[in-house]
Amino acid sequence: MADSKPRPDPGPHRGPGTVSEARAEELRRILRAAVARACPRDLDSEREDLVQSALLRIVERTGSGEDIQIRSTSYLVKVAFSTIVDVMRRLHRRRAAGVEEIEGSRSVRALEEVDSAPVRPEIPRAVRQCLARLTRSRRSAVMLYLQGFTAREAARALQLDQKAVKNLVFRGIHDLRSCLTDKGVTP
Amino acid sequence: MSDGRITPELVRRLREAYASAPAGTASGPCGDPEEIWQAVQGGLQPARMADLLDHALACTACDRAFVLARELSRDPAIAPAADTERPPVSIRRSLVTRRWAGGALGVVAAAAVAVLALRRPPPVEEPPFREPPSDSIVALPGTDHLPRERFLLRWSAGPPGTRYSLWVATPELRELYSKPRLEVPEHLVPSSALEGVPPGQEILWRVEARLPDDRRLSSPAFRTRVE
Repeated sequence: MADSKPRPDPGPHRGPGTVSEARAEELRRILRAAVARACPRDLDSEREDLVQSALLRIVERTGSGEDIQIRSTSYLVKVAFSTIVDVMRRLHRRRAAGVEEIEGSRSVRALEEVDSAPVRPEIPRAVRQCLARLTRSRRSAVMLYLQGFTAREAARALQLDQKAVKNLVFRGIHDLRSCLTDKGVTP
Repeated sequence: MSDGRITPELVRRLREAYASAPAGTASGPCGDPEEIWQAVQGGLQPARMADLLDHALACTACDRAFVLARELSRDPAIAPAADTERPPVSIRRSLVTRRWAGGALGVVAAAAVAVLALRRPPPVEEPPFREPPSDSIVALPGTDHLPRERFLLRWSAGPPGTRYSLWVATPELRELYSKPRLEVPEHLVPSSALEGVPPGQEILWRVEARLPDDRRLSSPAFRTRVE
Protein backbone atom coordinates (compact mmCIF):
# COMPACT_ATOMS: atom_id res chain seq x y z
CA MET A 1 0.00 0.00 0.00
CA ALA A 2 1.46 3.31 -0.96
CA ASP A 3 1.13 6.56 0.89
CA SER A 4 -2.35 7.88 0.50
CA LYS A 5 -3.45 11.40 -0.14
CA PRO A 6 -6.46 13.07 1.42
CA ARG A 7 -9.60 11.62 -0.04
CA PRO A 8 -12.92 13.31 -0.49
CA ASP A 9 -15.91 11.54 0.94
CA PRO A 10 -17.72 10.00 -2.03
CA GLY A 11 -21.05 9.80 -0.27
CA PRO A 12 -23.02 6.81 0.80
CA HIS A 13 -22.21 3.43 -0.74
CA ARG A 14 -20.03 4.79 -3.50
CA GLY A 15 -16.58 3.64 -4.42
CA PRO A 16 -14.16 1.53 -2.44
CA GLY A 17 -11.56 2.98 -0.15
CA THR A 18 -13.52 5.03 2.31
CA VAL A 19 -16.54 5.03 4.56
CA SER A 20 -19.16 7.62 3.86
CA GLU A 21 -20.18 9.87 6.70
CA ALA A 22 -23.69 8.51 6.56
CA ARG A 23 -22.46 4.98 6.87
CA ALA A 24 -20.00 5.88 9.58
CA GLU A 25 -22.85 7.50 11.46
CA GLU A 26 -25.01 4.41 11.08
CA LEU A 27 -22.21 2.22 12.33
CA ARG A 28 -21.52 4.59 15.18
CA ARG A 29 -25.15 4.36 16.22
CA ILE A 30 -25.15 0.58 16.09
CA LEU A 31 -21.89 0.26 17.96
CA ARG A 32 -22.75 2.82 20.62
CA ALA A 33 -26.01 1.09 21.38
CA ALA A 34 -24.41 -2.34 21.56
CA VAL A 35 -21.42 -1.20 23.57
CA ALA A 36 -23.69 0.62 26.00
CA ARG A 37 -25.45 -2.65 26.73
CA ALA A 38 -22.43 -4.94 26.66
CA CYS A 39 -19.63 -2.87 28.12
CA PRO A 40 -18.46 -4.02 31.54
CA ARG A 41 -19.26 -1.41 34.14
CA ASP A 42 -15.69 -0.83 35.07
CA LEU A 43 -15.06 0.16 31.46
CA ASP A 44 -17.95 2.57 31.22
CA SER A 45 -15.62 5.49 30.85
CA GLU A 46 -14.00 3.78 27.86
CA ARG A 47 -17.16 3.29 25.85
CA GLU A 48 -16.57 6.03 23.33
CA ASP A 49 -12.97 4.98 22.84
CA LEU A 50 -14.11 1.43 22.18
CA VAL A 51 -16.46 2.69 19.50
CA GLN A 52 -13.84 4.96 17.97
CA SER A 53 -11.26 2.19 17.84
CA ALA A 54 -13.72 -0.04 16.07
CA LEU A 55 -14.67 2.59 13.54
CA LEU A 56 -11.08 3.38 12.86
CA ARG A 57 -10.39 -0.27 12.18
CA ILE A 58 -13.18 -0.21 9.63
CA VAL A 59 -11.64 2.79 7.95
CA GLU A 60 -8.39 0.88 7.71
CA ARG A 61 -10.09 -2.07 6.11
CA THR A 62 -11.84 0.05 3.55
CA GLY A 63 -8.66 1.97 2.91
CA SER A 64 -6.73 -1.21 2.30
CA GLY A 65 -8.88 -2.09 -0.68
CA GLU A 66 -11.25 -4.65 0.76
CA ASP A 67 -14.06 -4.19 -1.61
CA ILE A 68 -17.39 -5.74 -2.45
CA GLN A 69 -18.24 -7.66 0.69
CA ILE A 70 -17.12 -4.83 2.93
CA ARG A 71 -20.20 -3.01 1.67
CA SER A 72 -22.36 -5.15 3.91
CA THR A 73 -23.13 -3.61 7.26
CA SER A 74 -22.97 -6.99 8.95
CA TYR A 75 -19.43 -7.45 7.76
CA LEU A 76 -18.40 -4.05 9.07
CA VAL A 77 -20.06 -4.77 12.37
CA LYS A 78 -18.16 -8.02 12.64
CA VAL A 79 -14.91 -6.17 12.11
CA ALA A 80 -15.94 -3.70 14.78
CA PHE A 81 -16.86 -6.52 17.12
CA SER A 82 -13.40 -8.07 16.90
CA THR A 83 -11.77 -4.73 17.58
CA ILE A 84 -13.92 -3.95 20.58
CA VAL A 85 -13.32 -7.39 22.05
CA ASP A 86 -9.57 -6.99 21.59
CA VAL A 87 -9.60 -3.63 23.34
CA MET A 88 -11.85 -4.86 26.15
CA ARG A 89 -9.54 -7.78 26.77
CA ARG A 90 -6.48 -5.57 26.85
CA LEU A 91 -8.07 -3.15 29.30
CA HIS A 92 -9.29 -5.98 31.46
CA ARG A 93 -5.93 -7.68 31.55
CA ARG A 94 -4.43 -4.49 32.84
CA ARG A 95 -7.08 -3.96 35.46
CA ALA A 96 -7.27 -7.59 36.49
CA ALA A 97 -3.49 -7.69 36.92
CA GLY A 98 -3.89 -5.24 39.77
CA VAL A 99 -6.69 -7.25 41.32
CA GLU A 100 -4.79 -10.52 41.02
CA GLU A 101 -1.94 -9.25 43.13
CA ILE A 102 -4.42 -9.60 45.93
CA GLU A 103 -6.70 -12.36 44.81
CA GLY A 104 -4.60 -14.64 42.66
CA SER A 105 -5.78 -15.83 39.25
CA ARG A 106 -9.41 -16.62 38.75
CA SER A 107 -10.80 -19.58 36.93
CA VAL A 108 -13.70 -21.91 37.23
CA ARG A 109 -11.52 -24.06 39.42
CA ALA A 110 -10.40 -21.13 41.51
CA LEU A 111 -14.01 -20.17 42.02
CA GLU A 112 -14.75 -23.64 43.32
CA GLU A 113 -11.83 -23.48 45.68
CA VAL A 114 -12.91 -20.14 47.02
CA ASP A 115 -16.21 -21.80 47.75
CA SER A 116 -14.65 -23.87 50.49
CA ALA A 117 -13.52 -20.74 52.28
CA PRO A 118 -15.89 -18.91 54.62
CA VAL A 119 -18.75 -17.48 52.60
CA ARG A 120 -18.55 -13.79 51.96
CA PRO A 121 -21.71 -11.83 51.28
CA GLU A 122 -20.58 -10.75 47.87
CA ILE A 123 -23.43 -11.59 45.60
CA PRO A 124 -21.79 -11.34 42.19
CA ARG A 125 -19.04 -13.65 43.25
CA ALA A 126 -21.46 -16.07 44.86
CA VAL A 127 -23.48 -16.20 41.66
CA ARG A 128 -20.40 -17.11 39.67
CA GLN A 129 -19.33 -19.68 42.22
CA CYS A 130 -22.71 -21.31 42.07
CA LEU A 131 -22.74 -21.23 38.29
CA ALA A 132 -19.45 -23.10 38.35
CA ARG A 133 -21.21 -25.87 40.30
CA LEU A 134 -23.97 -26.41 37.76
CA THR A 135 -23.81 -29.17 35.23
CA ARG A 136 -22.18 -27.97 32.09
CA SER A 137 -25.29 -27.93 29.94
CA ARG A 138 -27.28 -26.02 32.56
CA ARG A 139 -24.43 -23.64 33.15
CA SER A 140 -24.19 -22.81 29.45
CA ALA A 141 -27.91 -22.20 29.16
CA VAL A 142 -28.14 -20.16 32.35
CA MET A 143 -25.12 -18.05 31.45
CA LEU A 144 -26.64 -17.13 28.12
CA TYR A 145 -29.91 -16.39 29.84
CA LEU A 146 -28.28 -14.14 32.41
CA GLN A 147 -26.42 -12.43 29.60
CA GLY A 148 -29.79 -11.54 28.13
CA PHE A 149 -30.19 -14.09 25.37
CA THR A 150 -33.73 -15.05 24.56
CA ALA A 151 -34.61 -18.73 24.39
CA ARG A 152 -34.52 -18.58 20.62
CA GLU A 153 -31.11 -16.97 20.59
CA ALA A 154 -29.75 -19.39 23.17
CA ALA A 155 -31.20 -22.32 21.27
CA ARG A 156 -29.45 -21.20 18.12
CA ALA A 157 -26.14 -20.72 19.92
CA LEU A 158 -26.33 -24.03 21.76
CA GLN A 159 -27.81 -25.86 18.79
CA LEU A 160 -30.68 -27.17 20.83
CA ASP A 161 -34.39 -26.74 20.44
CA GLN A 162 -36.04 -24.01 22.44
CA LYS A 163 -37.86 -26.42 24.66
CA ALA A 164 -34.61 -28.03 25.75
CA VAL A 165 -33.08 -24.63 26.41
CA LYS A 166 -36.01 -23.49 28.50
CA ASN A 167 -35.80 -26.68 30.48
CA LEU A 168 -32.08 -26.23 31.10
CA VAL A 169 -32.60 -22.61 32.12
CA PHE A 170 -35.42 -23.48 34.48
CA ARG A 171 -33.52 -26.25 36.18
CA GLY A 172 -30.31 -24.30 36.16
CA ILE A 173 -31.90 -21.26 37.79
CA HIS A 174 -33.45 -23.56 40.36
CA ASP A 175 -30.04 -25.07 41.13
CA LEU A 176 -28.47 -21.66 41.22
CA ARG A 177 -31.00 -20.42 43.70
CA SER A 178 -30.56 -23.48 45.90
CA CYS A 179 -26.82 -22.99 45.90
CA LEU A 180 -27.17 -19.32 46.80
CA THR A 181 -29.59 -20.19 49.56
CA ASP A 182 -27.11 -22.70 50.95
CA LYS A 183 -24.57 -19.91 51.04
CA GLY A 184 -27.02 -17.63 52.81
CA VAL A 185 -27.07 -15.29 49.86
CA THR A 186 -30.23 -13.65 48.63
CA PRO A 187 -29.80 -12.02 45.26
CA MET B 1 -37.03 -16.11 46.77
CA SER B 2 -38.20 -18.74 49.18
CA ASP B 3 -41.53 -19.55 47.55
CA GLY B 4 -39.93 -21.66 44.85
CA ARG B 5 -40.98 -19.45 41.97
CA ILE B 6 -38.73 -17.91 39.42
CA THR B 7 -40.07 -14.39 39.31
CA PRO B 8 -39.04 -11.59 36.98
CA GLU B 9 -37.69 -9.78 40.02
CA LEU B 10 -35.46 -12.72 40.91
CA VAL B 11 -34.23 -12.90 37.33
CA ARG B 12 -33.56 -9.17 37.31
CA ARG B 13 -31.51 -9.44 40.48
CA LEU B 14 -29.59 -12.46 39.21
CA ARG B 15 -28.80 -10.68 35.98
CA GLU B 16 -27.73 -7.63 37.91
CA ALA B 17 -25.45 -9.71 40.10
CA TYR B 18 -24.09 -11.62 37.14
CA ALA B 19 -23.24 -8.44 35.25
CA SER B 20 -21.66 -6.86 38.31
CA ALA B 21 -18.78 -9.29 38.55
CA PRO B 22 -15.49 -7.52 39.08
CA ALA B 23 -12.96 -7.56 36.28
CA GLY B 24 -11.37 -10.96 36.07
CA THR B 25 -9.32 -13.02 33.69
CA ALA B 26 -9.29 -16.78 33.29
CA SER B 27 -6.08 -18.70 33.45
CA GLY B 28 -6.34 -19.98 29.87
CA PRO B 29 -6.18 -18.05 26.63
CA CYS B 30 -9.28 -16.31 25.37
CA GLY B 31 -11.06 -17.62 22.29
CA ASP B 32 -10.75 -15.80 19.03
CA PRO B 33 -13.44 -13.09 18.71
CA GLU B 34 -14.41 -14.71 15.44
CA GLU B 35 -15.25 -17.88 17.35
CA ILE B 36 -17.45 -16.02 19.79
CA TRP B 37 -19.23 -14.33 16.91
CA GLN B 38 -19.77 -17.69 15.25
CA ALA B 39 -20.89 -19.22 18.52
CA VAL B 40 -23.63 -16.66 18.95
CA GLN B 41 -24.77 -17.32 15.39
CA GLY B 42 -24.92 -21.06 16.14
CA GLY B 43 -21.96 -21.87 13.95
CA LEU B 44 -19.74 -23.55 16.51
CA GLN B 45 -19.60 -27.11 17.75
CA PRO B 46 -21.58 -27.36 21.01
CA ALA B 47 -18.55 -28.68 22.93
CA ARG B 48 -16.47 -25.73 21.82
CA MET B 49 -19.29 -23.39 22.67
CA ALA B 50 -19.37 -24.84 26.19
CA ASP B 51 -15.60 -24.38 26.44
CA LEU B 52 -15.93 -20.72 25.53
CA LEU B 53 -18.69 -20.20 28.08
CA ASP B 54 -16.75 -21.94 30.82
CA HIS B 55 -13.87 -19.63 30.08
CA ALA B 56 -16.21 -16.64 30.08
CA LEU B 57 -17.41 -17.52 33.55
CA ALA B 58 -14.06 -16.35 34.88
CA CYS B 59 -13.14 -13.90 32.13
CA THR B 60 -15.18 -10.73 32.21
CA ALA B 61 -14.07 -9.52 28.79
CA CYS B 62 -15.10 -12.77 27.09
CA ASP B 63 -18.36 -12.78 28.98
CA ARG B 64 -19.12 -9.30 27.75
CA ALA B 65 -18.01 -10.34 24.26
CA PHE B 66 -20.94 -12.76 24.15
CA VAL B 67 -23.29 -9.96 25.15
CA LEU B 68 -21.79 -7.64 22.59
CA ALA B 69 -22.08 -10.22 19.81
CA ARG B 70 -25.69 -10.77 20.71
CA GLU B 71 -26.49 -7.08 20.84
CA LEU B 72 -24.83 -6.44 17.50
CA SER B 73 -26.59 -9.39 15.93
CA ARG B 74 -29.94 -8.06 17.08
CA ASP B 75 -29.68 -4.61 15.57
CA PRO B 76 -32.37 -4.26 12.91
CA ALA B 77 -29.81 -2.81 10.52
CA ILE B 78 -27.94 -6.08 10.70
CA ALA B 79 -30.67 -8.59 11.37
CA PRO B 80 -33.89 -7.27 9.86
CA ALA B 81 -35.90 -10.09 11.41
CA ALA B 82 -35.26 -8.92 14.93
CA ASP B 83 -35.95 -11.43 17.60
CA THR B 84 -38.65 -10.00 19.77
CA GLU B 85 -39.28 -13.12 21.73
CA ARG B 86 -39.75 -12.74 25.44
CA PRO B 87 -37.17 -14.20 27.78
CA PRO B 88 -37.78 -17.81 28.67
CA VAL B 89 -38.37 -17.15 32.30
CA SER B 90 -41.61 -15.36 31.62
CA ILE B 91 -42.77 -18.43 29.83
CA ARG B 92 -41.35 -20.52 32.56
CA ARG B 93 -43.30 -18.77 35.23
CA SER B 94 -46.55 -20.29 34.17
CA LEU B 95 -44.84 -23.61 33.73
CA VAL B 96 -43.39 -23.37 37.20
CA THR B 97 -46.77 -22.58 38.64
CA ARG B 98 -48.39 -25.46 36.82
CA ARG B 99 -45.78 -27.89 37.90
CA TRP B 100 -45.73 -26.89 41.51
CA ALA B 101 -49.47 -26.53 41.68
CA GLY B 102 -49.83 -29.94 40.10
CA GLY B 103 -47.82 -31.42 42.89
CA ALA B 104 -45.25 -32.91 40.58
CA LEU B 105 -43.14 -33.99 43.47
CA GLY B 106 -41.20 -36.40 41.30
CA VAL B 107 -39.80 -33.51 39.31
CA VAL B 108 -38.55 -31.88 42.48
CA ALA B 109 -36.99 -35.11 43.68
CA ALA B 110 -35.40 -35.70 40.30
CA ALA B 111 -34.02 -32.17 40.29
CA ALA B 112 -32.57 -32.65 43.74
CA VAL B 113 -30.99 -35.94 42.73
CA ALA B 114 -29.68 -34.33 39.59
CA VAL B 115 -28.09 -31.53 41.55
CA LEU B 116 -26.26 -34.03 43.72
CA ALA B 117 -25.50 -36.65 41.11
CA LEU B 118 -24.58 -34.41 38.23
CA ARG B 119 -22.56 -31.87 40.15
CA ARG B 120 -19.28 -32.34 38.46
CA PRO B 121 -15.85 -30.99 39.12
CA PRO B 122 -15.14 -27.87 37.09
CA PRO B 123 -15.03 -28.82 33.46
CA VAL B 124 -11.74 -27.63 32.13
CA GLU B 125 -8.56 -27.01 33.93
CA GLU B 126 -6.73 -24.51 31.80
CA PRO B 127 -2.96 -24.57 31.65
CA PRO B 128 -1.32 -21.91 33.81
CA PHE B 129 -0.60 -19.78 30.83
CA ARG B 130 -1.23 -16.12 30.51
CA GLU B 131 -0.49 -13.84 27.64
CA PRO B 132 2.25 -11.44 28.52
CA PRO B 133 0.99 -8.06 29.67
CA SER B 134 3.33 -6.32 27.27
CA ASP B 135 1.13 -7.16 24.30
CA SER B 136 -0.19 -3.70 23.79
CA ILE B 137 1.01 -0.77 21.76
CA VAL B 138 1.00 2.62 23.39
CA ALA B 139 1.63 6.07 21.98
CA LEU B 140 4.81 7.56 23.31
CA PRO B 141 4.73 10.79 25.29
CA GLY B 142 4.96 13.89 23.17
CA THR B 143 2.40 12.83 20.62
CA ASP B 144 -0.54 14.65 22.21
CA HIS B 145 -0.10 17.56 19.83
CA LEU B 146 2.30 17.94 16.94
CA PRO B 147 3.15 20.56 14.33
CA ARG B 148 1.84 19.58 10.93
CA GLU B 149 5.26 20.28 9.39
CA ARG B 150 6.79 17.66 11.62
CA PHE B 151 4.00 15.29 12.46
CA LEU B 152 6.12 12.51 13.91
CA LEU B 153 3.99 9.76 15.42
CA ARG B 154 5.83 7.45 17.80
CA TRP B 155 4.70 4.33 19.59
CA SER B 156 6.12 1.55 21.76
CA ALA B 157 8.37 -0.89 19.96
CA GLY B 158 7.84 -4.61 19.57
CA PRO B 159 10.60 -7.21 19.42
CA PRO B 160 13.26 -6.84 16.72
CA GLY B 161 11.85 -7.74 13.35
CA THR B 162 8.41 -6.34 14.07
CA ARG B 163 6.68 -4.57 11.18
CA TYR B 164 4.10 -1.87 11.74
CA SER B 165 1.20 -0.49 9.77
CA LEU B 166 -0.02 3.00 10.54
CA TRP B 167 -3.43 4.52 9.82
CA VAL B 168 -4.46 8.12 10.31
CA ALA B 169 -8.02 9.42 10.03
CA THR B 170 -10.18 12.38 10.90
CA PRO B 171 -12.59 12.12 13.85
CA GLU B 172 -15.28 11.63 11.18
CA LEU B 173 -13.29 8.57 10.12
CA ARG B 174 -12.16 9.83 6.74
CA GLU B 175 -8.82 8.24 6.09
CA LEU B 176 -6.06 10.78 5.75
CA TYR B 177 -3.03 8.61 5.44
CA SER B 178 -1.76 5.08 5.77
CA LYS B 179 1.61 3.43 5.66
CA PRO B 180 2.24 -0.33 5.85
CA ARG B 181 5.37 -2.33 6.60
CA LEU B 182 7.20 0.22 8.68
CA GLU B 183 10.34 -1.16 10.25
CA VAL B 184 10.64 1.38 13.04
CA PRO B 185 8.06 2.39 15.66
CA GLU B 186 7.68 5.94 14.41
CA HIS B 187 6.69 7.68 11.22
CA LEU B 188 6.68 11.20 9.93
CA VAL B 189 3.29 11.86 8.39
CA PRO B 190 3.73 14.17 5.38
CA SER B 191 2.16 17.56 5.85
CA SER B 192 0.34 17.11 2.53
CA ALA B 193 -1.73 14.40 4.18
CA LEU B 194 -2.91 16.90 6.77
CA GLU B 195 -3.82 19.65 4.32
CA GLY B 196 -7.51 19.53 5.05
CA VAL B 197 -7.14 19.43 8.82
CA PRO B 198 -7.69 22.83 10.44
CA PRO B 199 -5.24 23.94 13.15
CA GLY B 200 -6.23 22.69 16.57
CA GLN B 201 -8.24 19.74 15.31
CA GLU B 202 -7.56 16.25 16.58
CA ILE B 203 -6.85 13.34 14.31
CA LEU B 204 -7.07 9.66 15.19
CA TRP B 205 -4.37 7.15 14.51
CA ARG B 206 -3.62 3.59 15.28
CA VAL B 207 -0.94 1.00 14.65
CA GLU B 208 -1.03 -2.67 13.86
CA ALA B 209 2.14 -4.62 14.55
CA ARG B 210 3.09 -7.93 12.99
CA LEU B 211 5.50 -9.66 15.30
CA PRO B 212 8.33 -11.91 14.11
CA ASP B 213 6.29 -14.95 15.14
CA ASP B 214 3.52 -13.69 12.85
CA ARG B 215 1.20 -12.63 15.64
CA ARG B 216 -0.63 -9.38 15.16
CA LEU B 217 -1.15 -6.72 17.79
CA SER B 218 -3.45 -3.78 17.37
CA SER B 219 -3.27 -0.54 19.22
CA PRO B 220 -6.29 1.38 20.41
CA ALA B 221 -7.05 4.63 18.61
CA PHE B 222 -4.79 7.47 19.69
CA ARG B 223 -5.60 11.14 19.40
CA THR B 224 -3.16 13.82 18.36
CA ARG B 225 -3.92 17.50 17.90
CA VAL B 226 -2.60 19.13 14.76
CA GLU B 227 -0.96 22.47 15.48
